[in-house]
Amino acid sequence: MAAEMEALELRVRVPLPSVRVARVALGALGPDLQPLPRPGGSNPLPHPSPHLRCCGEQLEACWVAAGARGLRGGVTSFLELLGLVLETIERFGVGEGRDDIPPSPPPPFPMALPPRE
Amino acid sequence: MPTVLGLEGSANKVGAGVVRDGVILSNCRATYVTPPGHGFAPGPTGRHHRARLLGLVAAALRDAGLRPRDIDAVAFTRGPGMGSPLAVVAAAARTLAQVWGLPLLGVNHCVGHIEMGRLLGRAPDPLVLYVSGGNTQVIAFSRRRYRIFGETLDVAVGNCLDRFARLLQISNEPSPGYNIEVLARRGRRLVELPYVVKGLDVSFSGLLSHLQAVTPKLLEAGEATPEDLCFSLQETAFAMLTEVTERALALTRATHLLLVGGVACNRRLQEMLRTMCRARGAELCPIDERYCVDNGAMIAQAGWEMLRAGQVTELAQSGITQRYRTDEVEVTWRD
Repeated sequence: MAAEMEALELRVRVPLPSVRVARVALGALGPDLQPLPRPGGSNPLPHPSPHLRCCGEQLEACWVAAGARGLRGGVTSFLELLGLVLETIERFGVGEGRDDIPPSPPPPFPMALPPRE
Repeated sequence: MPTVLGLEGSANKVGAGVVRDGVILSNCRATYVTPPGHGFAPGPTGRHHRARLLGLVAAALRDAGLRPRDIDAVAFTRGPGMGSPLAVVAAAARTLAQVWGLPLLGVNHCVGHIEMGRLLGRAPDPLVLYVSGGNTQVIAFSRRRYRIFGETLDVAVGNCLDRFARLLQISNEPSPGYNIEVLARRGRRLVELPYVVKGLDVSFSGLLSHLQAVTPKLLEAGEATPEDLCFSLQETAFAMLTEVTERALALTRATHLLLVGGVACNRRLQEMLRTMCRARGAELCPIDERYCVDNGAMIAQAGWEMLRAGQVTELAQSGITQRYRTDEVEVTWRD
C-alpha cells in the first residue's frame, strides 16, 4: 500500500511594476488557472489550480497539492503564462488604467453596427 | 466599421488575423512541425505558440496597416482544443483586451471555421462538412444553433490520416495529410478496408487499427505500396464522408455544401463531394485553402459576428475549455 502523503502548500509572490500590471495579470491568468466552473467541465490544464490574488503591486499564487510533481507542473505553467502576459504588456503597452482605479469596462452593448453585405 | 483581431491556437497552428466588415485585412500563421513518426503533444505545442504568438500579432497589425487603437475587439479561440496551446492564446488575448480597453470575444473554434466558410463561400445557409485533425461533423443551422447532424463516433478523419502518416514515417512538412494526398495520386491498387457508416455518423478507429495491423505485412510481402495504401485510405474514408453528407443534404434539402477544416484542402475529397453535389443538383461552395487550415482571421470573423450581436465574453467567464461542442453555442447573430 502506498504511504499516505501529506498535502504540500506553496505560496509565490511576484513583485510587478505597478498595481495596474498586477491587475491585468490577474485578469489574464485567473480564468484558466483558478478552479472555476466552465463549459465542458474540469480544469483544462493538467496541474493543480492555484488561488490567485493581487496584493498591491504583487501577484500572489497559492497551491495546495498532494505531490511535488503536480506542484512543480502548476508553478511552471503559472510562471510561463505570467511571462507571456508581461511580455505582451511590454510589447503592446499597459494601457490607460491608473493604479488607483480598476481597468475600464468595455463599451455598452449591443453596439449599433452596420449590417453585413 | 468594427475591426476585430482574432487569435487562434487550439492545435499545432498558431495565428493572428484582422477582419473588418467581411474584409480580411491580414492573416499570419505559424505551424509547429514535428519530425516524421511523431505527433504534437500539448506541452511542446504550447511552448511553440508562446514563442511565436506576439510576433504574429505584430505582423497581423502591420500587414493590415493598423495600430492597436484601430482595433475594436479581441477575439480568441476558447475551445475545443489542447489545453496548453489554448491557455497561451487566451492569456495573450485577455492581456491585449485589458491593456487596449477592448471587449473580449471567446470564440468556438468550429464556429470560426463555419463563419469564415460562410463569408468566403457566399452561401447564406449551407450544409457544412467540417473535417479536420480534431473534428469530423456534418452541420446545419437550425433554431439559433449549428446542429450536428452527423459526426465521427471516435477519431477525426484528419487524425486518422495523420496517424497513418506516422505509421509510414511520412514527413509532417508541410502537413501529413498533404503528403498522403500526393502519394495517393500514384496509388494503383485499392486495398479493401473497413467502411463504417452508421446513419449520419462515421467511425475511423477501426479503419486505422486495421491499417496499423496489415500495413507492415502488405509492404513486406510486396502486395501493396505505400502509395496504394494512401490511395485506399483516402478512397475509403472520403467515400464514407461523401455518403453521410449526401444523406444530410437529402434530409435538410440544402442547396449548398460548405467544406471547411484542414482536410478540406484535399483535392480528392473536393472532387468526390463536387461529383455528389452535381448529381443531386446542389453546389459545392468555393474553397479557399488559405482559410481552411486553422487561422486567426476565421476567429476574427466569428468574433465580428458576435460583436455585431452584442455577444461579448466577460473576462471572468472567459476560461478555456477543451471540450466545447459546436451546438453549445447560441448563434445570436443569425435568424
